[in-house]
Amino acid sequence: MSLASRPDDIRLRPDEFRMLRDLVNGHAGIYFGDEALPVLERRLRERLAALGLKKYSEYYQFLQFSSSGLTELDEAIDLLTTNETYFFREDYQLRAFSNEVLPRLADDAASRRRLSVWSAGCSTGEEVYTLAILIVESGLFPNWDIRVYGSDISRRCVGAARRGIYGPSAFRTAPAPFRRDYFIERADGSHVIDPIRELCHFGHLNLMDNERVRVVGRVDAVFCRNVLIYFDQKSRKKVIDMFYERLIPGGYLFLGHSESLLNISTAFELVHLSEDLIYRKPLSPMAARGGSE
Amino acid sequence: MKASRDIDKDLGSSDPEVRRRATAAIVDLSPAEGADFVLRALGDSDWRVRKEASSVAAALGPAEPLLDRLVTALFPGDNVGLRNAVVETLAAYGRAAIPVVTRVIDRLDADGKKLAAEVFGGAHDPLAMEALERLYADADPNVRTAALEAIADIGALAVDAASRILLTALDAEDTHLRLAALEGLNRLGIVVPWEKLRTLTGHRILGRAALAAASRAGRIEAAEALALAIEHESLAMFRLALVGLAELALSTEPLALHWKEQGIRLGNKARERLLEAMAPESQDVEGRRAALVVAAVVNEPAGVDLAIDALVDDAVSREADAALHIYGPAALPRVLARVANGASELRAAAIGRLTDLVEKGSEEAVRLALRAAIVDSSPEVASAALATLGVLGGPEDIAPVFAVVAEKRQGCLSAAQGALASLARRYPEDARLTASVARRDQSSQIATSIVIGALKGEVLGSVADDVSYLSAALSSADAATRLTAIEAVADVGSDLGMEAVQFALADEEREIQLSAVRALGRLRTKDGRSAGADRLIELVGESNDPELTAAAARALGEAADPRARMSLRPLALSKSPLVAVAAVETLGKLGDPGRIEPLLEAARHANSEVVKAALLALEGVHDPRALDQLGQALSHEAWDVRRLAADCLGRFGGRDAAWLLRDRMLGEGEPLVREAIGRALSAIEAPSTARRPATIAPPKAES
Repeated sequence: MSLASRPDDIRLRPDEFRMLRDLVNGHAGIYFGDEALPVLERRLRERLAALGLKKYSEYYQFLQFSSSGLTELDEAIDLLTTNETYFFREDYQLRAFSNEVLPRLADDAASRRRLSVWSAGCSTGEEVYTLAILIVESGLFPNWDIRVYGSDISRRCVGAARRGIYGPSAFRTAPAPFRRDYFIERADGSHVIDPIRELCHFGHLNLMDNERVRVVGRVDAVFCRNVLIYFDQKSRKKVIDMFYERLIPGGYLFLGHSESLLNISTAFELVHLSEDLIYRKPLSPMAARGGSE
Repeated sequence: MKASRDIDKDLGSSDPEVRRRATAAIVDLSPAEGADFVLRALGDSDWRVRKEASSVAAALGPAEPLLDRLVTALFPGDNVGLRNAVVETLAAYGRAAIPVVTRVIDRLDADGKKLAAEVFGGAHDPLAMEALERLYADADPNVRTAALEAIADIGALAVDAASRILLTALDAEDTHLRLAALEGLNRLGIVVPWEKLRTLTGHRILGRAALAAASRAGRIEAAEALALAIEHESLAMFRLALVGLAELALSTEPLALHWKEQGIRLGNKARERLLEAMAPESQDVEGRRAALVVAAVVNEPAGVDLAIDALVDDAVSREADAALHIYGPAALPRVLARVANGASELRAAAIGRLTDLVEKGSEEAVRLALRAAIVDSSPEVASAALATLGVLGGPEDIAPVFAVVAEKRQGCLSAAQGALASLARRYPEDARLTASVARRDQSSQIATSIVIGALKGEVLGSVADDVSYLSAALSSADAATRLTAIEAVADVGSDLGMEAVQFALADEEREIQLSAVRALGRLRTKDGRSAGADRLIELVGESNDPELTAAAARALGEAADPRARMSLRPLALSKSPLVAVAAVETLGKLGDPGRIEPLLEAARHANSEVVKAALLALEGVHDPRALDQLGQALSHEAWDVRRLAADCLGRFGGRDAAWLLRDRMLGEGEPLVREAIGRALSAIEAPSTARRPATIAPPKAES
């Protein structure tokens, strides 16, 4: 019997866990508590096998010092992040966007006739297409230049988002007409129709990379829902500041229902909508109640 | 360590192994102490001792006392083995041996002078040319012949001087001298004026070498002389003339075509030999190459099919190509027949020849064949047909090629894209119409994007309409479509595409990111300013991705922004060679006179590839500091940097550059660098002599 370690024999030691956790946190802002050790061990094991490595410490060295370390880190993060999402997720917030925010934006941006919305951490694209459909459905923006950006740190997710083909579970909370009007049913799944697809642009972005996120330009609204829950406090602050910088004055920030800017000192102002509380970049810096510094 | 007296004693031993070991021990002595022993050992009767002595001489190096002792062997003596060994040893010392041997040549007898000429030839240094000219002026014809042979040996390093001497020698009365000169000229590939060759081609001794030289003469008379020789009884003479004629035809196309028009035919014997020589089973590859060409020149009908077959034979494909070119449109029906049937590789090769063979009246037949081939099941055939249809196709070919692109057919997409772009540029209105009709069809995004890029916009309406279309195409799930769209945005060049290009920087495909960076350098505002320069400056300043930074540095050069120099300067010193080389090459292309400082800094970079890039950039800067830096690089620790510095100085030109090169030649030990220095000096100091290396090796003349 061979004495060589089999991949499933390889154990992640606590010191190795801390090194890997800190590396992922520094790169992508995602933070794993101590209880996540078995998750990291299980999910990264296949990478060790693929690279022919025998210890997690070797994997850490590879990530840090190999010429392909950055690409491999993307692979690791791909495996470590949860990509579960669906159309019309947290619909009360989407109703608020549709019924209260879009009319305001239609007024505010009327002179520009241009609307840009960013879904940051868009996973496989369901939120991006949902937002595009809501904008079209509103009927408020005929012949406007409409762009809905979707970004994610996972290349695999971005690729899937671009394809725009979904299975039944993605529609678990979507109203029936939505699927009928904006998708074409084919053998391999439901395909987003071309006029909606053309409004949506996807990119591979790490929200912690301030230089790269500039590609998004200035936007009217940012959706970053159920993403920051995976970040530590410091990274969360950094990302929120970056959103502030990317929003045009008067632009809106939507966070997940369990997320808030409590404990994070920011320049955003709170806006009370009928069904939700959202954040807004003040029209002028003077109006800001706090500092983002 | 062996004492001198022990070595002295052991060298007198009757046992060769004892003598060999004693010889090996000489290496521990000083050159002055060891010189006599080396000379004794080089003259030993046993080859192993002589071989050991050569190694010891090399290890001791070209020290003055040793050189002085070695040259004494060139004076009259009975030991032939010693003299030969000394010649080899001195030649191996190269430049260092030349002044020592030159000092004694006037005191040597004829044999000694011949040996001196051999040393000079073997030293491979143009410094010997002056001494060789003196030997060539000697009264003894054998010495003069040896001098000419040595001049040919080093001629590649001093082409002009060698050419002058060798051409003059053709007027000598002595036949052997003339033969040595002709062979030298043939070896160096120097063109000999036909006037000098005319009377020599029929010469009993010089004829063969003269015919070999005739292949470079570029004259119809030379062709006639070779044609006469090809009918010669001797097979060796036939082959010589065959190769010469092919050389002449390949180097002087009008001559080949003129000769073909004259309708010259070969005699039966020569024709039989020609067909034999070009047969695929012939083992004489050079003869086969030549035969394919000559068959075309004499319009040999059997040669067409053999030439088509040979298109896929790597050993002879170049000559097969040339042969079909010489046959011209007359070969078209045979080539078209091969397009339709046979192995894919051969069909594709035949398609590749069509552009050259088509003439007025045959275009439609060719297009028909190509249209059938673009849908061939073989991607190789379809690709070749698409590439050719791009050149020969008509407006009606746009739609089918557009369809092939839209279909993204495996294995031929790239050829189809090229063909569509080419056809769109030739028939813009038809291309616009096709693209407009297809604009609603998502599957046609890639093809429509190509048309927009090829015509640089205004295809679907205004430039804004095109950019909007391309932005939508950038949402495609298909990476090839996104890549084509981003390239089209760059081709259109409008700043309206800025946002699309910006976001493409976040594409998950590396190739698209890099393409987006390049596009940033090409987008312009209406008043002609760079739209992407700000973003590029941010990228080069902040990105920690070497590949992206390097691409941004190059794009910044395209952007022609006045801030480029300042942004690129720190990059030229980057630890990443990829980034530094990109910055240096871009700086070199800027017209900004301030670029010299960063280039000088980069020329002192730790990475030799960066240094080389800086030297190439400095070569084009006419500034004394650039010359100084190029001169310093002649002493760089890396030989390839020194070699490049020599080449750069040769192109920089001027007396100061020549002085730097000459100065370095004295201390340069690396043969490849010395060769480059010789080349550079020739370029600076003398007008170039017509010289062409043989493309088909001329056979050796028999004396």
